[in-house]
Amino acid sequence: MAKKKRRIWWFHVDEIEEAETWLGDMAAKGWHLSGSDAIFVHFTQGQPETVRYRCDIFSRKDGFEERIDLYTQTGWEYVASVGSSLHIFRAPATGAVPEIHTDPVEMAPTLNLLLRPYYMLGLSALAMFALCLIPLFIYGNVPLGLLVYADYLFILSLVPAISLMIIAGNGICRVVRKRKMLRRGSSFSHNKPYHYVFSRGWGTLFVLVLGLVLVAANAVNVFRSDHCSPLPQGELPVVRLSDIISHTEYIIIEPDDFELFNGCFTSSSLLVPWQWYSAEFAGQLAGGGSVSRTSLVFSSYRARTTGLADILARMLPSKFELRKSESYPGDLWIYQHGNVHEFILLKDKYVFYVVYNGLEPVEKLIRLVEDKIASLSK
Amino acid sequence: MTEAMYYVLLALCTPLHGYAIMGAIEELSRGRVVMGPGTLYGILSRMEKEKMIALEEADGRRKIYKLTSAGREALRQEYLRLKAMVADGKTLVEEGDNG
Repeated sequence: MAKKKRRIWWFHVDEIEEAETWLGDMAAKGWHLSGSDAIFVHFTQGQPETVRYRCDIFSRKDGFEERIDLYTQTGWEYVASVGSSLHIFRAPATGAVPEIHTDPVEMAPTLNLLLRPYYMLGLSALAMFALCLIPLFIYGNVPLGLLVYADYLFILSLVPAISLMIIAGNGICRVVRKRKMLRRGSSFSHNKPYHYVFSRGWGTLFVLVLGLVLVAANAVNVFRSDHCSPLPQGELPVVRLSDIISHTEYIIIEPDDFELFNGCFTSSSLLVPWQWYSAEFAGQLAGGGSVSRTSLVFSSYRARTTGLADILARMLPSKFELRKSESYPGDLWIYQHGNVHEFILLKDKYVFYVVYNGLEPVEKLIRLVEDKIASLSK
Repeated sequence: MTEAMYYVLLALCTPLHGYAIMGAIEELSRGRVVMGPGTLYGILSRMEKEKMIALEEADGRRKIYKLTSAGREALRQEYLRLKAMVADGKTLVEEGDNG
């Protein structure tokens, strides 16, 4: 029985001349094309022969049988199809069988069919890119998301989408260029170097697989960053509720009851590598006070530069509700409504964003934050 | 109109099926014009859409094409245009060759 082997079809849909040369070279080594499937083309071993292979582009919907019949009568044997619009024929290298396309100007419009797969690829890549950007929206807007969220993993997870966009863009440009060449009356060469196609193919596959792994890792990261661990007892780069109020006055709600509130997590991005979030919750005043829920949500950031810290302080989501303090001798924005105090303090590379709900004067909290900055800057 | 289109219309002065058109073109151009099946099929489907040619009764499973009146008129116009072009060039080119 004749030996068989299969090879991945690495050619882009428009790399017709390269594919034809490759198939011809395979036949010269005794490997003759015998079929195809979604990914592979199949070869059967036989006598080495000089054969002309031609790829023609047409839709399957449009009189497929009739067209194959016409080609067969002319001397072109239909061998296989790759995808829905690329069809491979072969004929003896010498003899009276005319080329499939004898008029390049008439051939030019057939290339339009090749644009569609590239448009689809481009659109899918755009959709993939948009999907990767979703985590950024958690932060309210994309620029703020980029500042606070975009780390190495995130940037790398964009690689597959970006590489597919580049492939699609390049493909569209090549098809347009080839169409122009045909319209000017120059024919395809049917003899073009193709070896680069294989190394490019494996390279692209590697980048895509790596990228998809990173997308998955990024998704896991999103999931994990939402998870709060219990507040540790040691020194934290944040102000604790216990720094402002006395334990004896309040009943501290146990983490088991309000796990989401009494917890903390750290995060990091390329521009703001140091981020710490904590949320604490205390219950009623012992003996029945009027404040039923005392809480402190504390976010501290250290940006790479003072400029970035400045941008971050101005972008934080509630910022538009906060007003710049006239009396404070630095960058402080404040919002107050009832017992709710919200403020953003900017100092050098540090930004502190604090939401406090309680009876203690907010000035006390601001002083504590200043002390914290002073200790961190040392 | 391209040369290929002109010859397809010319060949279809007698109704023919696809493969026969190729033979007819080669014959009537005395071997000068050889048309590949891809080029021919492209022209046939386009001309059919543009109603310059139409299908006659199918011969078995092979389609037989014939000229429509629009196709015949287009061929006549092209013939007259080419004839005028030859006439325009005649004096200058032939005189140039002689002198």
